[in-house]
Amino acid sequence: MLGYADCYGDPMGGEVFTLSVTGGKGGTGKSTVAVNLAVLFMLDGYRVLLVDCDVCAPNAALLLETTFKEKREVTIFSPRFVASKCSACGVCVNRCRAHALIQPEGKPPLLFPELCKGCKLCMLVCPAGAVEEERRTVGFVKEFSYKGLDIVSGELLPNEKEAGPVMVSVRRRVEKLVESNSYDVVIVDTAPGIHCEVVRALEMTRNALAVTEPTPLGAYDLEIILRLASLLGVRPSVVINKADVGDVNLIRDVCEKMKVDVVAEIPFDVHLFACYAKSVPVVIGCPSSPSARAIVKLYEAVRREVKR
Amino acid sequence: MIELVVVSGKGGVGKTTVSASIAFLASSKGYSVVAADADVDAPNLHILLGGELVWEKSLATSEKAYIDRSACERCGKCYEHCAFGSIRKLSGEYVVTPVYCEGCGVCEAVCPANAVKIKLVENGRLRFLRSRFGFPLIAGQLDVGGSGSGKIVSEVKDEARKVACQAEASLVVVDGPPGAGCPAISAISGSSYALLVTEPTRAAKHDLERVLSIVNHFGTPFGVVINRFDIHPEAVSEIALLVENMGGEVLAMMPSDEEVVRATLNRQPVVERSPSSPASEAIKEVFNRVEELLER
Repeated sequence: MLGYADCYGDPMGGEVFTLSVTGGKGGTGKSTVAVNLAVLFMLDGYRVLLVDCDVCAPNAALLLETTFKEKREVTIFSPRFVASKCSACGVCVNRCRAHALIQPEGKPPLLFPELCKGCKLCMLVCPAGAVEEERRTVGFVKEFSYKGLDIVSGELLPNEKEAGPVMVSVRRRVEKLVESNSYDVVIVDTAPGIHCEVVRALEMTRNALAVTEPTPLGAYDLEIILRLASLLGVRPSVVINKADVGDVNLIRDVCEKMKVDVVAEIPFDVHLFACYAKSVPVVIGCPSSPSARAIVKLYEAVRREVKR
Repeated sequence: MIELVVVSGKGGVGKTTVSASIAFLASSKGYSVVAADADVDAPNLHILLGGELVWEKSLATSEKAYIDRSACERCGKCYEHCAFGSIRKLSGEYVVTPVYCEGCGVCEAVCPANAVKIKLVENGRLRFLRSRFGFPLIAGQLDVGGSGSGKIVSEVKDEARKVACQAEASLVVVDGPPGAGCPAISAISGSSYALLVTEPTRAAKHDLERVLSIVNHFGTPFGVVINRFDIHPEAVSEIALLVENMGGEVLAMMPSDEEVVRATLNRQPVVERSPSSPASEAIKEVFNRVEELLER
């Protein structure tokens, strides 16, 4: 029986240093850490790609004054029923596991697009060849730049449920860019939670940081994300954000239990908000602030892992 | 029965903080309450409300494909046709990566050897907890490595409604998930009122807009709480304008308040620990609106 870590673990190959920034709990500072680390690598002359995988709420590009480069539509298959060929036999309706089709009597099926995942089963099972392919846009893969930093951001259209196709497209685009651009570093900002899109993001990278906060909520969620990471064969290093607002022992206890290390403590810092408001990363906007200095220390620890 | 859902788009802006305190306030004022934790990836509500486990059951809402290796002819058709990238080729074998499998059945349909079966699998837990204050707390937890958070959210809400019905409860408070994806859509669906928690940062406003489009899609009336408004007071009017344009109301502005952290560290709702702290006063203003809905 193949274990998860055997099936997963498909990080991008070669000499590229890949790092996910995740956490489980929302609002701990994943994007802040991911963006600032990416900027620091860039300022030190590394070729960096930042990938925003929080496709239901992408934020990384908002933390910077970015220049928009291009966007690609992410489309999925959508069935079009050809009335002249459809015999209203109902086979596709019965076989559709998403229950996205209903059969009005004697007429071609009606589609509920918001339930359709675009699997093409209806087209495959139709005995009359009455299903044709249309494409439906569910999101975008956008590209931006910030000084020397390249950014890829996946975005699901509001009210769409199927984030999978957007994530698959992000991955494909990232692989293409990595192939043609000889990046040294790829940093992936994941969504909060432990659902499959977080797994897809974590899977792109060999290394991970789990960002948390020193509260019982942070500790509880950290353990969950660490269990997910372990299932994937990844051992994240832990970053405690807002470290002076709470009890870091709550986090250290979880880390000891899960056999991971705390690699950084970032203090709560009002300078971060001032920099947010101006869309300037704190390491550029307020480099002598406590949070910037802690992030630089984190950067130096991470950089030691990068072969160049 | 009023079903109040607390969502935000942006994570970490205070949904659980607000939900816990609203549930506590309602209960302490004599309303019959049921709390529900719809953040099934990382449920936290039980930490602030206390949660003694009454019963737990496993949920199987997810369908996954299984390839029988002994019957497999290794033709690769399943791999070719999978629209979700969930079948991989590993050392000559075709293997389903369960977490990405959508259970659509295409692989089963195209397999010439009948080697693929679609099976219902366990993907989470449903829990009935008793809060410290006596009212029920229904929570869900997605299995680590599992998928299908949206359906687990629906199970949590269905159970909460069932329990509320049986108990003749007047209020269900649903602590929603972060994001504006499938779990958030499930959480908002069928609610009587959406309480949107936000903060005055660019990222939070952007995510608020996404959640607002879901709320509007369902036609759910909504109100907004601006948390930690003092971190960037200049942005508050922008948010207020957005809210007004979308047909909602700003119910309260909560300042940053150390008592929130203290209460969280002490594993209790802030209105219980410090009823007259600035954050508590703001939450009480929100509760006034909830009470108006309850009294109608």
